[in-house]
This record gives sequence, structure tokens and C-alpha cells, in this order.
Amino acid sequence: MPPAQTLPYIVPGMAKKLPLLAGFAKADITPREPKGMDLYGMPRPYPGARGILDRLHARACYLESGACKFLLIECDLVELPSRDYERIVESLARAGGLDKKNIWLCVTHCHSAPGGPAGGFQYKVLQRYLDRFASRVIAVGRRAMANRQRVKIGYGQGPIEGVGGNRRVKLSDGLVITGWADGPSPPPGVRIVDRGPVDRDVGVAVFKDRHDRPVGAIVNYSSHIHLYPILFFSAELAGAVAAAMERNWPGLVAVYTNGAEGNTSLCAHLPPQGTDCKAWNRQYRSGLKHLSAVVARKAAALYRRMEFESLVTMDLDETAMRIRSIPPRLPVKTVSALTINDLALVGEEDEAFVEYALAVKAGSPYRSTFVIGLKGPVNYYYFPTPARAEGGYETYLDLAPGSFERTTRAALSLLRSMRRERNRR
Amino acid sequence: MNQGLVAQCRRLLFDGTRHPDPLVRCEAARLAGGLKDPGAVPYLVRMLQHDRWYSKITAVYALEAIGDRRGVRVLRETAKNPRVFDFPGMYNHDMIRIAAAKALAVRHDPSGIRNISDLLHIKNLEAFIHLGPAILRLPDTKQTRPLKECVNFKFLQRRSQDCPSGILARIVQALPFFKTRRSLCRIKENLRHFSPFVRAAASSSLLAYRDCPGHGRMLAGLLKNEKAPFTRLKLASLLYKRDSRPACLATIVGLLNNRDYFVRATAIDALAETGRPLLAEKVMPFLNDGHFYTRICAVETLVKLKDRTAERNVRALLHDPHPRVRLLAACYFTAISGDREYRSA
Repeated sequence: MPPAQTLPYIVPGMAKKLPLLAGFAKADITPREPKGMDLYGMPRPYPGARGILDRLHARACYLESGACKFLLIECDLVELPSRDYERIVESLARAGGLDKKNIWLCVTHCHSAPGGPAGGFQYKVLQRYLDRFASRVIAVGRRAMANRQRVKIGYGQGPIEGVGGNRRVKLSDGLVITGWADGPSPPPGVRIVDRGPVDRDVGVAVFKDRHDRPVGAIVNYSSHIHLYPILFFSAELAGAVAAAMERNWPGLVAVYTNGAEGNTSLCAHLPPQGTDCKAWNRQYRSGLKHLSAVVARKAAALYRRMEFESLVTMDLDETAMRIRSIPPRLPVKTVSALTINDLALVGEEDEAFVEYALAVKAGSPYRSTFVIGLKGPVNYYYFPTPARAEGGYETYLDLAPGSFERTTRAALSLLRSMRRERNRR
Repeated sequence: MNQGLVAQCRRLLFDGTRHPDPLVRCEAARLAGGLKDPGAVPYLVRMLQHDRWYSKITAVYALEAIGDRRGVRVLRETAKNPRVFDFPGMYNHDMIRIAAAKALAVRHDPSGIRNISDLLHIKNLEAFIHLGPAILRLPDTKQTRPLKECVNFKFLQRRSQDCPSGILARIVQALPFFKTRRSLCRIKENLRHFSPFVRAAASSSLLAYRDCPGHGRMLAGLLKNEKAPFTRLKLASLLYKRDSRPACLATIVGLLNNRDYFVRATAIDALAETGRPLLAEKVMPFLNDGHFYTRICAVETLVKLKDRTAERNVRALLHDPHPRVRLLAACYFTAISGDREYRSA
């Protein structure tokens, strides 16, 4: 009689840890015909682009552990073109054998980038760009999946100062103004109260190969990434941080992810007086260099303190809810979460206010929590209920009262249930 | 009052217009305007040249309040061509130009109202909200009559439908100047708006449109049913100024110890609006409040109530960790020294 098979001993409360595979890739998505193209994120009316300040990229991170597969692609655009979104996701899901909901196709919210509706001769230029964009994104996703190798993961988060700030300023009559004069100015005598809150945390997850070389990183920070309007294509802070990290660690692909940035912007750095493009660009570059250096230095400091783990428990889940709004957004809003040991990535579809990131991080049962916003092709400003009463640029969506708070509770509930489920296994 | 201290405080206010934080610069400009200090004019002109839009607007208001001829000259240049002082492709230039034109119109300065009809013709909301009321208040002359005809209620009425709360509140604040039945109807409609700040603006506009017993009774009825602390404070403050009801004062005092710093600060401001110096003792404890904004409101209330008994407490605030609190303390000493009278717009 053959001996009874002995099962591996599982300690109650400890889920089985498996090796982690990760693959990274990046692709250039800078327009080939930049002159005259519309800079989609710029205020109207705005002349077309005069050229390229720095290159735009799509960066992909593929993670696999056991049966769990996940793909994150961040594109240097202001929003994803809805034209090809389904086709791209479908193609990547087929290529990698992934569930479509485990593909997070996001943008860094780069305002100095192409996109949007275009008329006249611009229409054909934009259609050609979008064709090329779709094929590049599919290719970069496939390359990341093909590049996968066994890795160790380390992660952490910590505060930085002087990079992002809340762009909504409260006044003594209860209303709010924003940094670029989107509405009627306050009358004389109205006092400025204060700016809103800010999420100072930079989150970094680094993946090292078997030779202990960093091969990829995910960087997370909640802020709009443009300094001021320019007439050139630029990857803005996302590109500058990724470039700084890739210089520090040759061979690394840094995937910059934007967080809950709906009401936050980069601090200071006004353009120079006058209309000299070169002076504007010089100051822009110098501003980005300074800000990206702060983020990169923090990333390096966090890296030095990281403990790397080669075996992980990786879980993916999502929750969906109906949110009523005018104009109507998508029928359901989904919040997704990926957890790897004590790291949680929370995927959010919209440009949520920073209060979302602060609440989720404060209530999260994981040591490090990154909120990754701007997932998918339709992104609205998503704000707490009191913000609509205060007014301001971002509050045009007539959300049912309590929607934002429901989403925050749903995200926390999702994280807690994933933690409980893991502890139970 | 030690003249050295007063000079030091004036210096602090002027230096505040060059602080790295634009919110501190705005505060310094606002206080300089309230003190009508001509020494601040060069600093305010500099703010127009190198600053953010809300700092520029505050500088324009301050120059308007001070009325110095150097400031008026700069306002004339700005009303003609704001690009002298502005960044291209960034802000709404017309906003600065409108603020300057309005400042000149309020002073009945002819150059302020010459060449501004284009601002009204392009149907700029900013122009209708701020410049329009100023033009409507100008005396009827051959020059002002065509401008007054451009300023009409219809544009505001169209824009006030389905607009966000912030814009709606500003429109509602401008409505009393259009003395028509429709503007009154629109004010009354917004007394029940979901935003407490729009309700507060509508309440204030109702009395500004016409201060009559019927409107007073209407606001008293609203106060009975109002739940939002901010709107309660505004209603109580309006009714107290109208007919000194003790219940309204009790409402204001009752909200002084609210958990929310913004409600506490608004209650303190409401005490300033009563104009009763005896209420200064209720404000004193808030000089040590945990939130800097409440401390700011407390000092400014003491300035407005002309209370000298808080001198020792306010002197400590000259070393407060928050720069805006230090500016208010400086304003207090400048105001009570007798050299300048403080009057916020």
C-alpha cells in the first residue's frame, strides 16, 4: 500500500508564498508629426505645438505569481483615447492569458501631450498618431510579458516637501478659487482662508533580478504633473522622474503612476515674463529638474531602507458600484486592488481628490498603499460631497451626494476583506 | 504707542508682500489696503508685475482702497493693457483688466470707463459680476449711458442656470444691482439652494436689493429652519445688523465654540460685524486658538472693534509661528496707534 501523501504544512493565518515574476518595458509614443498638433491638456484657445521638449513614453509593468497575473501600463497622455481602448485591452488579455480586469491601462495625466477631438487637417494627423499609439501600447505590454523573470520586491513610502500642493484655495465666504482663474474672482474684502490638504507621500516599489540589479520600479505620487502651459510636447514630471531614476539605476524601467491628483498641482515655478519660448522652456526644464530630483532622492532613500522579498502572496480583486451623476459617467464605478505581501495598489478610474488617497492610506491594513488613478478611458473629477457646495473648477459633475464617501468606504472595505481572506488561508 | 513698534509693524506688512507664499502676499496686500497706507503702493505695484492672479487682484483692490495717485496711474495702465503685467497664455487677462477698470469706475475716474465697452460686449461673466454693478452706480452721463445699456440682467440670468456653486454665488452677489423683478425672483430662488454658501449669498443679496420688513421676516423664517452653521451665522449676522435681535447674537455666540475651525472663525467675524466693542472680551480666548485662521479672525475682529485692551496678548502674536498671524498682529498695532484707521472693503 503506497504511503499516504503528506500535504505541505500550512500555518493557520499564513497564505502560501510563491515566487514573483516581473517584466518591464517602455516604448516611445512621441508624435512623429509634432508641429501644429494640438496639445490636448492646454487651456483653449491655444496654438498648436512647435516641437518636442522631451519624449513621451508608455511604460509597462507585468507581474505574475502563481495563477495571478497583472499588467500595468502608464502612458504619457492626458487621457486614454477611447477609440482603441477595448481593442488594446482585448489584445493584451489574449496575448498574456490575463483577465481583462487585471490589466490597468492608465495615464500619467500629461497635459503637454496629444489627444482629444481634432478638426480639419489635424484630424488625419491625430488618427495616424492614435493608430501608432495603439500598436505601440500593445507591443510594450507584450514585451513586458515576454521579459518576465524571477525578481525580489522591496517597497516603501515616505513624505516629501515642496513638490505638490492643493490648488483649491478656500475663501472666507466659503467658496473656493483655483490657481489659474477658472471662475469669477472674489470681491474686495473676502479673506483667503487656506489651501486644501495634500498627500506628501511618495511610494516606491523596486524589483531586483537574481543578480540584485534593479530592473523595474513603480513610483507613485498624487499631483498634476505639469508646471505651466508650454508649446512643446513634454512628459512633464512623470518623464523627468522616470528619467532621473533610470539614470541612477541603468537598465531600470521606472513606471511613474499618478495618484489621486484631482485637486493637487505642482508648487511654484511660474514662467518668466515675456513671450520668449526658449526662456519658457529653459525655466520649465529647470523646474522639472528640481522637482524630479526631490522625488528621485526620496526614492533612493526609500530604496536604501527596503527589505527585499523573493516569495510573495499576490492577490487581485475589485468591487463595483453604481454612482448616479449628471452628466452620466460609466454605469458602474469600479475600484480595483492588487496586494503583494504588505503592499497594496488601489486602482481608481477617475481624477479623485487627494482626500481619497489620504483616507485610503490612513485606513489601509497594508504597510504601504499606493493609490493609482486615471485608470481607463473615461476620467472625471471625483470629489467629496462638501466640495460641490464650495464650487471650483473640478466640481462640474453633479454627483449624487455621498458618492465619493461610498467609493472611499468601498476601497477600504475591499482592502480589509482581501487582508482577512489572506489571513484566513 | 511706541512709534518704533509701529514702524516695525509697517515694515512687516510691506515685507509680507514679498513673502514666498502667495497666500501671505495676498494677506499683506489686503491689510495694506485696509489701512490705506500709501507707503505700500510700490510693493503693491510690484505684486502686479510678478505674481499669481489672486495676488494681482488683491493688489488691485488694495491700490483702489489706498487711492494714491501713483497707484491710480498703474491702474489706468492695467485697465488699458493688462499684458503689461501678465503672463501670456496663462490666466484670464481680462480678469485683471476688469478689476482695474472697476477700481477706476468706483473712483469715477474717466479713464477707467473710457475704452472698456469691449469688455462688456464680449459677454465676459467677470465683467458683468464686478464691473457691471460699478457702472450701474455711476452718474448718468453721455459717456456712461451706452455702457449702462450694455449691462443687463439677461446675460447673468442665462449664465446662472446650471452653473457650479462658486459661479452661482458670485452671480447672486451681483444681482441686487439689477433692480428688476426677475433679479429679485432669482435671488429668492437661491435662498433654498443646496449649497450653504449660495444660500448665504442670496440672503445677503435679498437685503441689499431692498431692506424691507417682508424680507426681514423671510430671513428670520429661514434662520429658524437653517441647519448649516455657516448660513446660520450669516443670517444671524444680517438680522442683528438690521434690528439688533438678542436671539441672533445668541446664535452667533453659541457657534463660537464649534468643533470646525472655519465655523469658529466665521462666528468671530460675525462679532466684528456687530460693531459692539463690548464683545471683544468674547474674542480674546481665540487669540490662542489651535488653528491659525481662527487666530487671524480674532485679531482682525479686535482691530475692527478698536479694542486696545488686547494689546499685550496681540504683542505675543508678533512672534506667532504662522506668518499671516504675524501680519494681522502688525496690522493691529498700526491701526490702534492712531496713524491709520483700518477698514476692510
